[in-house]
Amino acid sequence: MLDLVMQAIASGVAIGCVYGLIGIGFCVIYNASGIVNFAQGAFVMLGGMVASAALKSYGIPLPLAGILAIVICAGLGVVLERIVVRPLWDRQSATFVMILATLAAQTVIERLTLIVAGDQPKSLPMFTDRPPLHVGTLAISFQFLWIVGGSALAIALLALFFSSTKTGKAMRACAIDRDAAALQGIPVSRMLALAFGLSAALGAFAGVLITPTQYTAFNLGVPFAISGFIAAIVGGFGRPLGALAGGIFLGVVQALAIVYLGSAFKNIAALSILLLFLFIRPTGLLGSAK
Amino acid sequence: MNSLISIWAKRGSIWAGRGGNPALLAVWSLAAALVIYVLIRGGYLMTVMQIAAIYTIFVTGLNIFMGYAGQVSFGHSAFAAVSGYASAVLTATYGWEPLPAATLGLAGVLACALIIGYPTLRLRGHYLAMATLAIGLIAYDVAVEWGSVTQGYMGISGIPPLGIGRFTVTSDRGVLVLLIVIAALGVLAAAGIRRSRLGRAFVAIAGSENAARALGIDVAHYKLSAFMISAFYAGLAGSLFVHAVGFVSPEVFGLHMVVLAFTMLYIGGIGTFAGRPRLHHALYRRHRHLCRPGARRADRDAAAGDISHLQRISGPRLWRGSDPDPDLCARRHCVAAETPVVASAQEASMSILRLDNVTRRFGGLVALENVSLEVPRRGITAIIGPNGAGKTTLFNIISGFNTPTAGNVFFGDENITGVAPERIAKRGLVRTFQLVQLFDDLTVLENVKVGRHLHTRGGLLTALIPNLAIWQEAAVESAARALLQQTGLTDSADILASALPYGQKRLLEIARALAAEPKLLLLDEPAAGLNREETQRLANLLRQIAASGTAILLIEHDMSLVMNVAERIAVLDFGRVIASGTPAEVRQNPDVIAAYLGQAEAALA
Repeated sequence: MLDLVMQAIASGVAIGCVYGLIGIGFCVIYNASGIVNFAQGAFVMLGGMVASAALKSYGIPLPLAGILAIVICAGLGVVLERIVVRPLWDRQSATFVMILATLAAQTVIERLTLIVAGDQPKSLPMFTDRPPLHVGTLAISFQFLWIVGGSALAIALLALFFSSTKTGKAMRACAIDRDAAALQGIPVSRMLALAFGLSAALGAFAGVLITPTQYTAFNLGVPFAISGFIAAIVGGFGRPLGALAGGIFLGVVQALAIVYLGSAFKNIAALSILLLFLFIRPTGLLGSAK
Repeated sequence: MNSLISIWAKRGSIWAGRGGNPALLAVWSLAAALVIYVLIRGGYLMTVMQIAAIYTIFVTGLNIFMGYAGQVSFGHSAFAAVSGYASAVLTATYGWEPLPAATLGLAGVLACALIIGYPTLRLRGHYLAMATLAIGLIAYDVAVEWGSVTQGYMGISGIPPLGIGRFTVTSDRGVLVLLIVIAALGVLAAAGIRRSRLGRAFVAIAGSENAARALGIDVAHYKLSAFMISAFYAGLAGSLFVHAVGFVSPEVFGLHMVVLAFTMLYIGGIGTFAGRPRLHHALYRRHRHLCRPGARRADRDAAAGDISHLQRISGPRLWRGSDPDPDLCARRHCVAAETPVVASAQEASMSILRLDNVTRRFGGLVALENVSLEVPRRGITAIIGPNGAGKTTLFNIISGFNTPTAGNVFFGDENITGVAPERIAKRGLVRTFQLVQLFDDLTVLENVKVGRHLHTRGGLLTALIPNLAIWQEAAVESAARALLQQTGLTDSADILASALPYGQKRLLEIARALAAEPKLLLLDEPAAGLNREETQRLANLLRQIAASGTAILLIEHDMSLVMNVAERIAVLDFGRVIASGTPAEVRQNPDVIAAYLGQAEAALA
């Protein structure tokens, strides 16, 4: 039993990293604009779908296919910002309207994917096709290492971007005070587009990382978005590192729920965590209690 | 068919508004039912119309929570699922009659709404949206996974249609007529709620929770009421659906149910006006969406009907006639009120409000330090002091929006330290805000009516049966109009509060506070942003109020106003009371001159 639990925790950590990446995507946009982008999950789904299509239909090698998927999704993120979010943003629409609009965008992307790619699940090969490493009784697949390493790398790069580049600093300035940033000559609207692109790229990266261990299909966007959002809430909304911690927490709890309660309780466990945090500790794991 | 749709759409427009007339609704729905009975014989259109009627109920309920009370819920599909599955399981599996099954289901919905609403409704914005979304998804997951009861994805079929014994509605046409009648009653009830004391409280909460609390509205209680009422509608829609269609599966109550309902609400214009265009546009739009063939002309008809209707209800009300001379009224008010002031000179010397060593710290910052203050039972007292002296913090502590770190506040003989704002308002202490907080989605008149909240009674029952409260409503109406008269806002009575010019917004906020008949009125910078003429009128109004026996405590920066109206002045500087007394005494106090008046007089000169 203990072995099973350890194994579950390991896989929980891996999927948790992915949730964390999605959650960070939420934070990047939220920090730059105060918007919660409910279409975030669509890019996770698309990341896997595009990479799979590039690999299988066009014979592009896996690393290139992954990068291509990330770039295309980043572009789509910018497009989403321009045609859906921007008009509402300029009109200073209510929170509710923005939620509904991004949710609608999610549905549009989902249905278009269904029309273009069909309803069959798509998959990607393991990045490193070798038998898993054994640490004691624990079996660790190479994809696990890719996921954890990739997430760590993405977060390190993101931290570097926000702390050391002029653009990154400008985005942080927008997060702190949009009007003041505009007065300093920061092109606030371009920062918003950039945030959407960056967030979509993060989502697509998460999608490319996770697809080899399970599969992806047109209708997985909403579940991914919800898991990512829970990760962000658990981490204290708007804190990238918190989102990662929240994602791992969520992944592990989910994995344990599957072991102890059965797979039927996977989603219910996740949503219960969300409610629990919203009711009791809305500032998240790392935030100070109110 | 075209005429039918336009009838339907127009009915929405008439019934969603404030000016609804029950008799007319009965005529319309009867006519609609008749036309449907004659025209539609079955098939696709029949199903579409049935679903449309069911969604009308769902959306009407959602509009009470989201449109009226200004909250967000992605989770009402959960309530539809609870009663839908209760109906399905009890009838199809256990052989109950549909009516008791649906009734039990609805009772379950109310219980769930109470349990879920209590923790959930403390959340706001994105958090509320996500929590309710999670609730909706959990309901869906339970429906999928609890296979022994719900049959999982397969769903439950063979659910009998609604009815009692021999009176079971079996024909499609009969079901549709029944659904339309229920939907019409639902819309009528919602319109009744909107016009009632209950509905005004909902819309007030949507406009400003703080202002609502300051007028004695228990915000948590009313949010929960709106949530439970809308959950009831959702549950009703759920039960009706399963009995009408005869089948239920988790997909029925998936996320798309809420998204569809939202689309209807949003297209109806949830951001525009509580209750009115929202609902009927939703109805009209849905028909356009669902009744694809041959619906174009009807849409245009419906839209034209809506526009003329809007013009009709927002046009001038000619029947009311001209109002009497406001000056005359004001003078009469003054004369009538002056006598008791003289008579109760002794009472006037007692204090109505007493602050005893009140201290408030925010982290390391001491906003108030050992403030002791007495406000007499009569007359106007002013608190002055430079920006950041702690005046607004003091007001927040007195009115219950903030608690002191140390010290006590007494209102009359009662210690009100740490008591919630709505309870303090109930005791007769009502405030206004530095930044005007009106209920933007209510008319000027309705704003003042909300002020009568504490002095009226009635909830859902009087909302549904307005005749029970007809005298009370008449009294509220005349009291509100009298206050508009007193503040010179009569001409604007029927426009939205958000459309008032700034100076009049300030006056309206005072009128609204007066409607609560406070013993002590707290005014936070009432003259801020007013021009000289408006300030003069404000000064007259304040004297009138004081003369009628209401004590006033006022924060103000306009020194000429303060010196003009206040009988006593307390000066606050860096969280301490540095002086208090008559205007003349304060004016000569060297500390005050140093801290404050020196600069102000220089500025005035």
